[in-house]
Amino acid sequence: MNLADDHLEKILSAAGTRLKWSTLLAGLCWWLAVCLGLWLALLVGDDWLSLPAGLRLPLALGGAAFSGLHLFRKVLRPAWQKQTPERTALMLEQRYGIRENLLINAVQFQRQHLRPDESIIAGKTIAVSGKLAENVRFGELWDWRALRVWGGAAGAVVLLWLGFIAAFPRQFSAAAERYALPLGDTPPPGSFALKLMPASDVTVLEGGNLDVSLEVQSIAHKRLANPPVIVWQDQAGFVPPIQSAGEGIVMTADGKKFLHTFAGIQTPFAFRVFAGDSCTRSIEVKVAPSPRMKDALFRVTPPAYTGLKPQTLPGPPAPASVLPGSELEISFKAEPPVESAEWYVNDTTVECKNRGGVWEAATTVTNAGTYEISAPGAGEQRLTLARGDVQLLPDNPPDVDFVTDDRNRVVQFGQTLTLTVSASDDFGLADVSVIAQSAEDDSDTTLVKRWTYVPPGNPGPERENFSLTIDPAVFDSGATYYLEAQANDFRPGGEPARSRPIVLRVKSAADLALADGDVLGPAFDELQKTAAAQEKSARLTGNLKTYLGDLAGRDAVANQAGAIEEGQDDAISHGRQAAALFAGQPEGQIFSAPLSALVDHDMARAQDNLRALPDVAKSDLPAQVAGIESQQDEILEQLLSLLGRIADARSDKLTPVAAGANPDQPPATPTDQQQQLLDQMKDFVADQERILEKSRTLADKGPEDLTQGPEDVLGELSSDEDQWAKFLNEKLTDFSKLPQQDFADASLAQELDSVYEEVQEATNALAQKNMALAVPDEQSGLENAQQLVNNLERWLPDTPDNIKWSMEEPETPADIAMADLPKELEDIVGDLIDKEDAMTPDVEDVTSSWMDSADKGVGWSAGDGPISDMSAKGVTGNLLPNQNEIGGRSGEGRNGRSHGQMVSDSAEGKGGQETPTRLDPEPFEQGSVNDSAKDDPGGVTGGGKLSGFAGEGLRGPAAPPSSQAMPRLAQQQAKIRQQAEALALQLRHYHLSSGELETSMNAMQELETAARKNDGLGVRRAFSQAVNALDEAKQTVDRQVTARNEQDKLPPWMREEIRTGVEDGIPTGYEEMAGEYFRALAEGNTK
Amino acid sequence: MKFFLPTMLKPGLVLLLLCGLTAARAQDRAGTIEFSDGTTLAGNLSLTPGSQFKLQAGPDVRVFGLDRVQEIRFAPEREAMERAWRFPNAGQTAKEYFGDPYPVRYLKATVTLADGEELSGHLYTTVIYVTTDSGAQKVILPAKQQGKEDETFRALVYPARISFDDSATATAGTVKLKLPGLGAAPEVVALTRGGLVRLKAKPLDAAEFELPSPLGQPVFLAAKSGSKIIVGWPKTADRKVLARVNAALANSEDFFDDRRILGAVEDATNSEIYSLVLAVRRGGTTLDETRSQPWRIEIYRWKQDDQGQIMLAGRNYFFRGIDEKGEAPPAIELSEILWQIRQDGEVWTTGNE
Repeated sequence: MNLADDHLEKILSAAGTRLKWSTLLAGLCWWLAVCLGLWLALLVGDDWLSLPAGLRLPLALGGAAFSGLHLFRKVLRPAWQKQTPERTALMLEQRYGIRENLLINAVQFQRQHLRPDESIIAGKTIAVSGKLAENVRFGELWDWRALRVWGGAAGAVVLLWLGFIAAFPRQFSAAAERYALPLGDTPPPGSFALKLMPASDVTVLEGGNLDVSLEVQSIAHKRLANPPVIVWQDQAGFVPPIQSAGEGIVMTADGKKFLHTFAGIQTPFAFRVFAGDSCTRSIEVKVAPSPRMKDALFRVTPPAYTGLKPQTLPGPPAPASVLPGSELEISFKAEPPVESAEWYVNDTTVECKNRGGVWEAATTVTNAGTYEISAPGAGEQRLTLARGDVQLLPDNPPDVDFVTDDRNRVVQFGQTLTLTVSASDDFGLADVSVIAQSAEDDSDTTLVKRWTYVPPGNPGPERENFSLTIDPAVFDSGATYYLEAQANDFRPGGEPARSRPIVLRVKSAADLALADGDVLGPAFDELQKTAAAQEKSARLTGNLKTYLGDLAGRDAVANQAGAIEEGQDDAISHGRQAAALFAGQPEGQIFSAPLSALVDHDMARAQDNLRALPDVAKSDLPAQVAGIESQQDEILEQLLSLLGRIADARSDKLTPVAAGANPDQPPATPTDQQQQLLDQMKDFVADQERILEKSRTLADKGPEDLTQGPEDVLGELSSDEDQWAKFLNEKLTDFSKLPQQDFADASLAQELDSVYEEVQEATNALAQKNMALAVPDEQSGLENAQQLVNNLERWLPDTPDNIKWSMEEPETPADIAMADLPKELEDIVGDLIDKEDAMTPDVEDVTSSWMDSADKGVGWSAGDGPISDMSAKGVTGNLLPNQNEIGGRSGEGRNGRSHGQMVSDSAEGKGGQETPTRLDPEPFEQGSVNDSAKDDPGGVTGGGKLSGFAGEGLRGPAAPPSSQAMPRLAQQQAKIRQQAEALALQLRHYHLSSGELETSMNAMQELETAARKNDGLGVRRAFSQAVNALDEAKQTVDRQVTARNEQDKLPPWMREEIRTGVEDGIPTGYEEMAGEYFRALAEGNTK
Repeated sequence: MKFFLPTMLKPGLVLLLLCGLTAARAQDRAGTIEFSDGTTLAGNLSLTPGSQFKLQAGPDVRVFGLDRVQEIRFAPEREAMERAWRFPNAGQTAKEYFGDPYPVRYLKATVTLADGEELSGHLYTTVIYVTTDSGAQKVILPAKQQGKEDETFRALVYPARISFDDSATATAGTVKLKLPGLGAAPEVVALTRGGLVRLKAKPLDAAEFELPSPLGQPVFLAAKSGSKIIVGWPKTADRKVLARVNAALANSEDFFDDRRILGAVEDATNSEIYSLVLAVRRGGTTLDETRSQPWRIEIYRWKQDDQGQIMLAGRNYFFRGIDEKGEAPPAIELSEILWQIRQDGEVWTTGNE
């Protein structure tokens, strides 16, 4: 059952509403009065005291926490709490002293379903409660006292706030901001309002300027006593509001503003301006990197005449060296990107075009100068991205010359000279020609030969051979000529290059003579008379031709023709006589026939024409005389040519010195050949034994293999590496002193800066005493440079090495740094001033395991010593290497015992000590060395980089293309065997026994096969056989050569008798004994 | 090879022979190499025959075999992007850089032994061969890596961890030496066989010392007390071996110009000879002081080939001093007791306690 009594419920509801609002309003007023008062105090305090951030922060946090807490307690929680009838009933019971919880019980009863017996009591309770509720006076339920007190206080505080804001708005906003962001950079309000430009943090371009301006407004009508000071701190993001916090400078007044410019900014900084008691916020200035060029390239297209292909070179700021007329293109990227770019070159500005982020431009280079690439910078400034030089490569004229030392020659008609012309050009030859020029008449030139070269781009050197026959048609008898070679290249407007001339003096007919007693002498004399008569006749014909008109007018042509004919007859007469005399000698018959033909045909025809001359019509005379003159000249040329040929053929030939050989040299005697062969044999055996003996078992650990070849193969061959170590060894090497080396990175560097220095050897060097420097551990030390910084100047010594260095071994091994090496090495090389025979043990350094990474201490003088160095700072120098071991890293130096890392990418052979084949413990490395050395046939080592396969040269027994140790050994052995085979052929040629040598070759073959099969045991067995057989071969050849010498002393009949005696047959069973007997007899030996 | 062994030499030689067998054992262990790019390579791992790991740990070099290693970890010690450079002007320090940056990385190796002891430092570049079903592969354990221009460090892959399936041969971090009768405050030094790594013992009391682990290698011992030096070495030696060593010594020129062979023992298994040498500098030195003449008591290791020729392959010293000119070098006493060292677990004794 429900006992509803709406009356009680309504009273409780109305009372509850009043009670709740009373509490809420009182709490709100309290909160406003207390908290606003607190904050007002804080704001005023900060304005007054300019509290530091360290104090503002806890005050702000404390104030916020206090305000928030009491907002919750006084306002939010009462507002959030629900004013239930039960709560209101409890509050009324307390306020009016209602006992026994009548009101709340009534409320409870009204909400419950009661049994009938309970309803009686509940009804009574509700009724009593209703009566009591009726006595409640709602006006009393408001807490008027609290509302009056706290409401008044809150109103007063709000008024103070409003007054503060109205009276001091700048102070209020500054203080509020300073508490809102207590750690922020809000300056306390001073007497001046400062307006700064820039007002916030800025970013400027590297190298750019920053203009700062400040406007000052006086608040209290005070005058600024001193101009504002701008204070900054480099590499800082914030400047504390203290004027002494950094460097400062007074700003410059400009009207109502104060200005300052930070120029050429390179590093970030922060600044703040102080004016009177005011200051601005700190402004952070960041520096954005200025645009830089990346992937800059030059593409040079040389002029078409060079035939050269376009070439890509490192781009700006590198200098560009090009031929005039080349097209020069640049391409680059800019980081950070730029809006545009210009290229100033050739006194013009070329606009760069952007193609997908790559800036490109092109121009044709006509003159040298500087270039500059620029981009827009800050403001109107332009930013230079790169600046460099454009250099013009000279297109030199060609080099041309005759390949001969004999430049002064006397020649005769008919003689043929064989000449060689060599020509080269830096970019390409166009043509080469040989010109003969008369010494008397510059205009008398004859082109002898011309060679043209197309297409362009052939730099040579070209060697052209040609034969020059001294032709009377070209050369005058007795005249002198210059023979000159000229060469042209394709340079526009280029003058031809000229060679040194060869002077040709052509013998006249009168100068020609045969040796005394020559059987052809009379015929030759007669032929000279023929030529003389023919020349006289021709000269008269020339006169007739010159004065033909005059003579024809006086009808004197017939007389003149008769005189000419007389000479011609004389020539014919001598010619026939000469032909007959030539025909009479067997050696002259070859000259008789052409002479007879000349006399009987050409001379006879000329004679017929002369005889007919008086009958020729006047009008036809000039042509007829010219024809006769031509005929006679031709006859004379042939006569002179024949004279020259005969004189040439009958003269003694000179030895062709230039060819370097004398084909007519008398043959060597058999004894000489045998001795020579014996010497060769000894040398061969000594060489090969040296290599093989030095390649003996080391039986210590072998070199590692750091190459990245086919891994599966290398992996399988891993077990071979210790076998490999057994075959190459230098027995005198003291492996105990090898320093610790780690060549994890296979460095390669170019040797670009190589200087040859000529050193005058000191005159007192001979008197120098050898000196020993024994350095104990106490006086040794390490630099161990991690980085190469120093680059000291150095020079070469002027005295030979007379110091014997000897160092005590280091007490503890050091971990030597592997500083990054330069990509381009410097070198100084000079002529060796050490004499090999002076390198006695008194000056040979002692191997030591001292190793350093030296930087500061390497310079001034290039000397030697026992310390290995990892910094590759040594130079080739001019001292002969000692015989001690040296490790570390270096470019190519002189040959000598070393086991370090070769970091130069090429080797050309710089001479030094002959170093035998030996095993080094360093690993096989990545990379290969371009080896063009030809002076180092030995020197195979265990590891290092590959060399000798670059096409330019072959080092001989050098490293194989991989670390395949046994194939490498086989390859070396094959070369030795090939030499042995060549020697065996020679032995057979001289009928000397080559059995042992062939046995050795077979053993070498077996060694190769075993090595290729990785059969270490087979290699060892074959090796021993090869060495033993070689030794026996040497002894056999020695004996045989001795026997030959003895045999040569026997008379021929005795040798023949012995030979036939052997051939007659020997009784069965006595062959060997008889053979020994005859051999002993023939060889002259007694046993 | 047939030779006569003096009775006194036998224990020492037996020790060396056993060591030789240990050293000659095939080093082939199943394991995995994890690379820095996450790839792995599993198989049988081995070193180039005859070679060992060499680790520069601070001032000391430690040499040990593959069987002693439980794990090797590599981590970049230093990384930098470098650019090619040169000195454009001879004799001037100004550098000119060119080309694009390339990465350079220095690796630090941490080797964990069987007992958990870790050795860190610069592992000299070593090659490990990994044999798998598909063949053998070579893995280089570098100390330094250098990339090409425009490459990043990611492109430089290195073996980050090498672990083994089985347990490494037990190696104590330290060895306790019980060596009574060496005199007052003796200083004890050991040289390992093979690598001749020098280990200084720390005294625990008058007769007990703590020696850094020789990492499985047997050792030669010597002690110095005042001016007295005792070296564990047999008092008699094979005269033929001594003669060979004396003859070969002439080929090895040295700072010490007076070297006396005090003894020599042959390790036929490894084709090696060890000789005890008292080396003295008699000639002048560059030291301009009263005491200018150094001396050392050293061990030389000789390799011999099939023909019996020997070559000096290694050396290290027990003790070093510096005397006045003309002063006699210290007297060296050879001790059979110190030579016949007995290993009892992690305690090595002379056996005469």
